Amino acid sequence: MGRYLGKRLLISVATIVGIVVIVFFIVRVLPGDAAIARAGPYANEEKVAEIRDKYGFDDPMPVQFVDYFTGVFTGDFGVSIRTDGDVLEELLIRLPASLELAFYSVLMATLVGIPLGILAAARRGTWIDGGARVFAVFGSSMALFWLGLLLIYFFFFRLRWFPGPIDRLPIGTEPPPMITGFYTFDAALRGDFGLVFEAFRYLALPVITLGFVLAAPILKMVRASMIEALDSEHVRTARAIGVPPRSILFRDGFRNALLPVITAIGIVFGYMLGGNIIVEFLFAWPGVGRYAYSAIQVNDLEALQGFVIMVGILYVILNVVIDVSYAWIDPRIRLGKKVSS
Amino acid sequence: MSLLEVSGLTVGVEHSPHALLRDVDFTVEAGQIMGLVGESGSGKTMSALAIMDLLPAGIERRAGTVRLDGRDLVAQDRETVDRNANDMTMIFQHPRSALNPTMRVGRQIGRALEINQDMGRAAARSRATEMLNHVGIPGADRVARAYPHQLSGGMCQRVMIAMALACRPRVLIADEPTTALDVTIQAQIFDLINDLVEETGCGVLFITHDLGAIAEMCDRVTVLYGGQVMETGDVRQVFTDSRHPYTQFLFDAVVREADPSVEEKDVNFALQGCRFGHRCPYAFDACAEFPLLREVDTGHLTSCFLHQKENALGSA
Repeated sequence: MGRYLGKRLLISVATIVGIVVIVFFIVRVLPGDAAIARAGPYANEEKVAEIRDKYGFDDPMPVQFVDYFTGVFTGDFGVSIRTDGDVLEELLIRLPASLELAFYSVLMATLVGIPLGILAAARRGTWIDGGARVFAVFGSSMALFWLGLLLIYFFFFRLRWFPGPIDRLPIGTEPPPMITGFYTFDAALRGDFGLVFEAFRYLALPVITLGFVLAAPILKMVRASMIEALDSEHVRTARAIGVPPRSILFRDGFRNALLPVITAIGIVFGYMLGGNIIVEFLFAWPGVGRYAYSAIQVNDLEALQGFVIMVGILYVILNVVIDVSYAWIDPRIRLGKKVSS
Repeated sequence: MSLLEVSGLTVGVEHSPHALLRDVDFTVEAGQIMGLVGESGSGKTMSALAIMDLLPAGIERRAGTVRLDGRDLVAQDRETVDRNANDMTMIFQHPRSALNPTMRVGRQIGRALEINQDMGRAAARSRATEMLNHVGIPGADRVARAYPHQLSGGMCQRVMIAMALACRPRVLIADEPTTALDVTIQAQIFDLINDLVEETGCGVLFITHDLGAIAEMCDRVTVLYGGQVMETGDVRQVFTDSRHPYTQFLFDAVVREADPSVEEKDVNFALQGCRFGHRCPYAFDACAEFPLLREVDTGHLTSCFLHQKENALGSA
């Protein structure tokens, strides 16, 4: 187990180095000129040249690369040309908002996808199964922005059940003191349940948007791997020795279907880390996704680099967590072969 | 009255008119081993799964009764099964994949004990270790804590047998229990099954394609081909005095070489008559009908019109 973990971590470090290198080159082949964008439409040649010089855009590529590379590994992600702020700092301020959104969205997707998937597999071929599959097709073919717009239109604009798509709390409300960065958690820790309620009201629509769409792949994976597990030879054995159906469904079925399910949840979570740019933009959610969106608009290379590297690192961490949970779930990975007698 | 009496068992694929098993009859007596022999695809495992009510999705039992001590195990609606593992249980061909990969083997045996012998968890745990010892596993303490992937195939089959024992079944179905194992282990597994019969007096349905194993293990034998029972009787009767052309062909193929007058053709499940009819060198017009089993000697039955014709001629 220790060796497994050590090897896994070593691979992770190599992956992160690879991400950093690739990101540098990708960002530099993007069209557009950051200096012109920064200088604005009325700037003259000299002004643009001055900006080029200031941010080092004129340095030879290898020099830029070395600066950037050593910077990243000493925690210096550079300065945003859009805000003149430190990129790492700006990202870290916005990260909790994104993580909170991701956390509740994946939670909702899991709470919807897993029970529905189990039910569909257990009642294969019935109307329950049919309904679950319709739901899955609907979810996976629904465009995020369209669903988000519909929810905003009906539940905010028409019905006024939820607040409008602006920020995480009502304007003028003081956020809870930073402990975890999740407003719902921090407010609850302080015992301010009114604020918890407000935070949830603002989370609701973006979480439903993402949760609905993300439940689909989880449902499909749970259903498929449950069916495989329930059709397996060891489940047949369990039935032959008289194990009750409920126990077969969970202990012999779901327990053995967990591995692909964990993978599906991991993929969905990873998708959330980079992919909720649209939803953050739509709901004016002050997270890293919206920050990246703004950076793209003005060719803010340093900020964009910082975002991609951060997502990459989070992704690698996520994968380590998934791999470790594999080992925890599956004794075939955790334990070596052979107990000889 | 036989311990287990299977009669008229007919199984088919849903939405298809053809039968994979047709009118299968045989019996298993207490304290005896009934062999079920036939080539691949002859319906041996299908029969066992149908009796156990473990047929895979898409395959349905259409007719037939399964009686244990005269008690019908399948209710008239053919849905509810009135059976538990105390009545009948089964061991499988691939022992490792037949065990749950995420559960320690001791726990798997313990679970069978809890369900079938009303044991508490702690009692079941120590009893499970005893049973591993009983089926000849040295270091049973350690093995009980192992997962199936850590054990050899032979050990896994012993674990399966211990699980089956834990159910205290009156009938044990052993579906090619040694096919996936090497020959030296085979003898040990056979001994275990023999011991089980002697100790508990249970009846065994022993499925194999190996005629040698039948001769060694079984009291009686049933020969299947294409889902039809060709012949059934004492091992001695069937082996030395086989009456069905298929049985004769099968034995010939083992000791000499295959009879060239028997055409090589796949099983045809669409045949209305005898399933061997399209290959049989003795086939005549009556064979277009489905032949039911008829007694040719005491306890020796065959499903062939040839002998019914001869008998009719003889008695005339």
